[in-house]
Amino acid sequence: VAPLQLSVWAMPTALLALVVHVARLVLLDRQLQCQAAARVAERVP
Amino acid sequence: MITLPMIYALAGLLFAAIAIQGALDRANPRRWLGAGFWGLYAVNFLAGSYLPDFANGVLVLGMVALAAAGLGRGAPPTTTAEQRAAGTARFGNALFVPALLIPGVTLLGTLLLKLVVVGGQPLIDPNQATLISLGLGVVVALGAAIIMLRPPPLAPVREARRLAETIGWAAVLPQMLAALGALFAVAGVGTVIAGLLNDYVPLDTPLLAVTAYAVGMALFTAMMGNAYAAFPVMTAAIGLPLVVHKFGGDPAVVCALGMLSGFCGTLVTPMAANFNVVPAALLELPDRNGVIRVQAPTALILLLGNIVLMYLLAFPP
Repeated sequence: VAPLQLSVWAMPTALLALVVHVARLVLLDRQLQCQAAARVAERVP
Repeated sequence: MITLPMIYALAGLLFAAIAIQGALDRANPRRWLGAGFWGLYAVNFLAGSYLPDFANGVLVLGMVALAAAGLGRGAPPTTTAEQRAAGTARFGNALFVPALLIPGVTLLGTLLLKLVVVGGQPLIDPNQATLISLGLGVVVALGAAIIMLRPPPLAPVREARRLAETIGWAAVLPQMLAALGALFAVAGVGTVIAGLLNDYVPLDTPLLAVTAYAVGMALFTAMMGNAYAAFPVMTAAIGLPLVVHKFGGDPAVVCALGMLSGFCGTLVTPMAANFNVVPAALLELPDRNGVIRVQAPTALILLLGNIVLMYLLAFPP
């Protein structure tokens, strides 16, 4: 088995990891924005 | 012809240079232990192929003893923060060129260097094209960095020592764990695991075998702390006999995704201390398992993804 073939077959997982990580970061960003908004709302009555 | 032993010799000479510099650095009170450690590692690279297995084993045990005693750290001359900031401002993203040359040359060399013939002989050993290209890539990148940055002549070796001493003994861990995994495989641990699995789970469909292999890689990696140690064992136990031979899986797909399943285990184990525990301690996180906690969901999704991918890709119609 050539090392190059191994790298080729690792690509689908690399793509999947990218998608999963981007999705988790988007969720984290939303969560942080919500928290920030809640803090602003607390201060402004 | 450029052969793998020449690349090993190059690595050995670098580690020898690290050892010599370390021995001369009075800033490190444990400099002889550190120099001994990197010196033995250099001998391993320079002469490992010619020494009997027993001698190589003694070398490794010597390294373990020195590492356990504590290697210390020297103070190699390096650049100041101001010099680094000036360099960043001057070169910008071009600073990444030497680093990116390494994978670039490795890929091109793997594809093309096999075809080059000089004086009736191939330029590189065609069986080891990838590793030799990696070695050449490092040399090319070093040359490019020297031309670009014009550092003091000794800077490459000094910085190599700074990096080696910063990482410490953990730098040799992947190689040692891979050797441990190979030993486990020779000792028949794989057969025992395969026997245990066969007694409890009937692995009589490709999906079950793929699942057992991927989950087994993740679990065994979590126990050993490193996928390099788990790979030879689990591949000898389930990967090759069941997924590849019995069900006709493509070995390249099975091995690549098996290794990646192992990395899912790396993400969730405190045994992979250098990734998961040391950063939490260095950053003084309130939760020692904070890194693992954050990584766990990604690891589980990717493990599931690897199982599905292996099942779909390894069995071409």
